[in-house]
Amino acid sequence: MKRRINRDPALLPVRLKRMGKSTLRTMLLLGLGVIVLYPLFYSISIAFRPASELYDPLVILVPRTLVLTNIKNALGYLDYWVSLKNSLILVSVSSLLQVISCSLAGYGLARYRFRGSGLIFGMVLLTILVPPQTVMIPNYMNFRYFDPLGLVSLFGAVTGQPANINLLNHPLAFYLPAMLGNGIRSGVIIFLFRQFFRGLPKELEEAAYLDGCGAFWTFLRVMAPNAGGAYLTAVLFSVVWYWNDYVYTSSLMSGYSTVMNRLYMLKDNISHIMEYEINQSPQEGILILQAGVLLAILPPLIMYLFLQKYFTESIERSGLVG
Amino acid sequence: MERPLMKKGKRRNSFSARRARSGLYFCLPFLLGFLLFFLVPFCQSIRYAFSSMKMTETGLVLEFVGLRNFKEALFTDPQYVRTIVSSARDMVVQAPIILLFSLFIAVILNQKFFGRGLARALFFLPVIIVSGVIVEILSTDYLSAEIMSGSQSSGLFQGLGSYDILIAMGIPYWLVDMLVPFVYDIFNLVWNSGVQILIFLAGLNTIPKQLYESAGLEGCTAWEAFWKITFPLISPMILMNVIFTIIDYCTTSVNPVIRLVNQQSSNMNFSYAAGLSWMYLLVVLLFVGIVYRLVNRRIVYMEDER
Repeated sequence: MKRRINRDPALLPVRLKRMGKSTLRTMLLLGLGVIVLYPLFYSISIAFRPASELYDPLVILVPRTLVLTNIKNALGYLDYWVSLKNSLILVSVSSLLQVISCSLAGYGLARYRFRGSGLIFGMVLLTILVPPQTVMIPNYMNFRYFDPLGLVSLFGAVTGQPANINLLNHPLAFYLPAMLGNGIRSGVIIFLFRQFFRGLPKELEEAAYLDGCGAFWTFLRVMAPNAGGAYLTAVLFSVVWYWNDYVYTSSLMSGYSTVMNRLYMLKDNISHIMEYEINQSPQEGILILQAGVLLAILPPLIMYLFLQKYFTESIERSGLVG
Repeated sequence: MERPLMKKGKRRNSFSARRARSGLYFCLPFLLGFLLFFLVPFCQSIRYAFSSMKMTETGLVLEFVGLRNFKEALFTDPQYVRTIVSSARDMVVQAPIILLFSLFIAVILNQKFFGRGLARALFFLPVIIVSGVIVEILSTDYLSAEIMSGSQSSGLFQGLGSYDILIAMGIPYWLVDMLVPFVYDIFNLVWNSGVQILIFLAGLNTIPKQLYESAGLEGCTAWEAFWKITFPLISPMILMNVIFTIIDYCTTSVNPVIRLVNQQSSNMNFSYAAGLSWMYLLVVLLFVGIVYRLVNRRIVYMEDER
């Protein structure tokens, strides 16, 4: 990608200006990059550091000796492989369902005008606006005695047995809302899809209609493939939000072994663990906690590293439409 | 021959009616979910706000108390009103800075230069790393807490000594006092604008390149192209980001008001907590409504149907 440099002296000011611009840009991005990466380096540095070097003034980022004990301890206390499996399944299924249901709703709101579409959009905004904590307690009760529209109690009354479905600590407590477009921050994702689909040219839709496509096929065959960038963005957000969530997990899935639940437990018990199980000073708990943090952010980090290539490419490609 | 029948059928199945119905079908899953998982708990939480709740052996007992929770929050609670006012003030300052910063970074990341993919990958990292439990751990760890909060004593920025340098340069105190917090705040800024940068970036990419080419042929400078092409065409994303930024600020678990609410609800004062969060919600709703009205009028959609 070598650019040929035009040595014409008349173009010197232009070249200087361009060089100045790119130098400025590089400096800015480098500086901000350091800020972004610093906590990550910090986490890594602490996680592989022996306890003796925690307060060593000579060690700032790179420890003199690298140890794996912190990581091993964290692996044990997080019950990592089990909780990782649980988390991966929970997060990937929820995100998939969420992205599908949200893209449908976003498409309907972006491309069709019907009676009540304004109202539905208002509902979407309302779900974004209401902090999850506001509805958390009734939501908890809602899942504890799961009874959609009184159907379960009706069933109970008909069969004569008291029916009682408890969805707490069951993955369905995550899957059902995700499937119906009401998962974690679903409103934001619907909004995102709406904004994207509104940007697609009308001709695409008309061409599909003339070719005899119904509304759903138009969506599936023509519109959705053209919104690849929106889908990737949504998947990324969705996975990350589900993975990092603690508000929903702690109330609806507190008995389910996910990485975040385990990490929180570790954080709460760290001084106890340090004192009675490892026989070290509580301050050194930081070592294990940081190792735990590192283990917890590793899966989405790996996903991102793989995805970002397609990601930067695909948002590039979606620019061709129109 | 079959006129009446056809006419009837036509009325029911006209193009626009069919379109309207398929639009509704697309929204149907959301509507059902909204009813089950949002509206029901939402209405229940209104009921909580107007009652006092007691835990008994038989479960929760609600007793209607009218406006008592609200009155207590407004007139007796020493923290509530003050916290709301101060966090609203912080947001009014922060949100525009986050928006400008993320638009700026997105425009830069949209240019062609060596290492762009890497730079793009970098700016979304904070979204992955910092949220939920992790931010709590990072902020309870005193070493990293100093770094994260960017406090004046923080090791990372201590070396800058920017305050003294600026004063020594003869810049007036009031200006330095205004500027320096932003420098210290760069950490929060970068760490809170990942989502916004990404949304802007995705929006920038949907702008057809031909527009810039033809504008360039007509002698349009980059500065003019930004304001005449980029800015209007990215305006839907601006609206989205404005709302997202406000909401994100108001509903994170580190927001002081949310903290207050959580504190009450972990003390088992569920109904009082519901009252607090309801009043807070009304304030946020009002604010977002005003901002939406103001911004929405200036939005340009490429394919405007409405």
